[in-house]
Amino acid sequence: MPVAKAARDVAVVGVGTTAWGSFPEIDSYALGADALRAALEDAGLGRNDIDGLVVSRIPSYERFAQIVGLDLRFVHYAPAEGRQSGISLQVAVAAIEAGLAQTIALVYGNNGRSRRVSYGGEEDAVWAPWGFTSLGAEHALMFRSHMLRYGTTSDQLAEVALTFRQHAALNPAAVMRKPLDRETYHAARFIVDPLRLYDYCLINDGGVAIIVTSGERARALMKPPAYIRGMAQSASLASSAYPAEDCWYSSLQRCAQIVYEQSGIARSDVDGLMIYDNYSPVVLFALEGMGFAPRGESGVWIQGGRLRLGGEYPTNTNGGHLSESYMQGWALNVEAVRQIRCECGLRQIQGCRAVQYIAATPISTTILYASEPS
Amino acid sequence: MSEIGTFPHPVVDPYSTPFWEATRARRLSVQQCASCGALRFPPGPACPHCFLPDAVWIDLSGRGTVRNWVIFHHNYFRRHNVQVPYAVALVELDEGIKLFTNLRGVEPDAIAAGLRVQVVFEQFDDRFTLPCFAPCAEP
Repeated sequence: MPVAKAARDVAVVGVGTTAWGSFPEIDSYALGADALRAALEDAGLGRNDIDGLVVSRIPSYERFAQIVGLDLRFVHYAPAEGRQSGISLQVAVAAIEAGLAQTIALVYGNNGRSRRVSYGGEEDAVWAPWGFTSLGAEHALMFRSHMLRYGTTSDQLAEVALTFRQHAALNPAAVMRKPLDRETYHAARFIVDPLRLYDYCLINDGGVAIIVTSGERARALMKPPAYIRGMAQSASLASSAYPAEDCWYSSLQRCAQIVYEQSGIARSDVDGLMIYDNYSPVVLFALEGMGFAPRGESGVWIQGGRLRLGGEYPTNTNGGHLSESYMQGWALNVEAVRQIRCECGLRQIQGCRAVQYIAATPISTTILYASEPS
Repeated sequence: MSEIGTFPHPVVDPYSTPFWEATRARRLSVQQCASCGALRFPPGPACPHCFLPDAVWIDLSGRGTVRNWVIFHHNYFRRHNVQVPYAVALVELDEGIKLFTNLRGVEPDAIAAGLRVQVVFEQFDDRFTLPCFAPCAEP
């Protein structure tokens, strides 16, 4: 087992987001540059203060670095996968702790809506001759396993989409703010049965930037630091030729064993959750794997408003990927920071001091943010 | 339900060539590690259990059990005339290998976990024969 690292002292000091929507007149370089400009302003930093750059999804980090004119001594590139947001933040923290850079800007740009990206239909995939395609179908299959094994129902699952839509209604930036009721959820068309339209995330354009630096530097800046107190990663790639039979439970358990001990923050002290929600069932998997819900009981456990604002663990207060914006985990990390800073207006978690990001994927990650240093 | 030939054709790589040659001869064949005996699929250059490279190809019984399934109501293959809805099942063969496949002789609504199935070979085009599965009476 990896040894828990004591006393991390790294913080997020700036976050920036563009508007979410459809912007066919620009591309992901412009979205990333706009987000970076916003994050620098948020942090009260200039480009000269940035010596590390992490780029994700934007096609060329080299072209992006030319556009934004940074003088860098640390560069890392991550492809267009949702799992890469948590991984990238972890790489940035590690780079700062290792002294490879002092202040790192992480920049993500996504123009998937304008480019009509469909997340499925790759013709050269192993199972394409039988029609099996898309990450959505893999999640549909995993949800079916959960239904078969534990008796979880679609009506229980509805609570995820309904909760996040309710939160999005409180977020002026969210794409989908129209109220969603249970009847409409069930009446929506299947995409891949057992999942229906509202179990699927949005596809929209947007950009996100996050600036990370040492705690020492963070304390000298304008905004309250959001300290990264704990982080963990666990891959289940060896078995990923097929959808995960255990819904990533063992992988997430490994993350849980590390992140609470490392951060010194107990699960019960977490005030809010940001859970990667490309498809609604993954929220159930994350809650079970991280030990919030008992294994197999997440469908029941989330009922009664547990994930809603005012509930025990308000989750995806921005509306998540299902209703706010599909920024592949990046905007969820921004929301964690904004909650820690108490910048969330109507959707603010009262007395918010610790927020946990969880991504249940073939490479599961978690990051625990807190208002106080270690 | 979709008819055979509407989905993209298989893409053959150096490791999967024997698999597709076997299906043309109406045999379901997978790699077996020459060192530790573990079966592996999809085909690849090393054994995930013992990491040694050598393998032989062995024929499977063709009998298995439906473990899971989904029903596509959306056609992701934009260049193909796929009729929706169609079902894809995950079948675990008695030897432990799992395949995504299409079921014949069973309506999507009647698919259930635990259903016993037997391989049936269907002509995909003049190059490929595709293994699909149909319910069988045998326990």
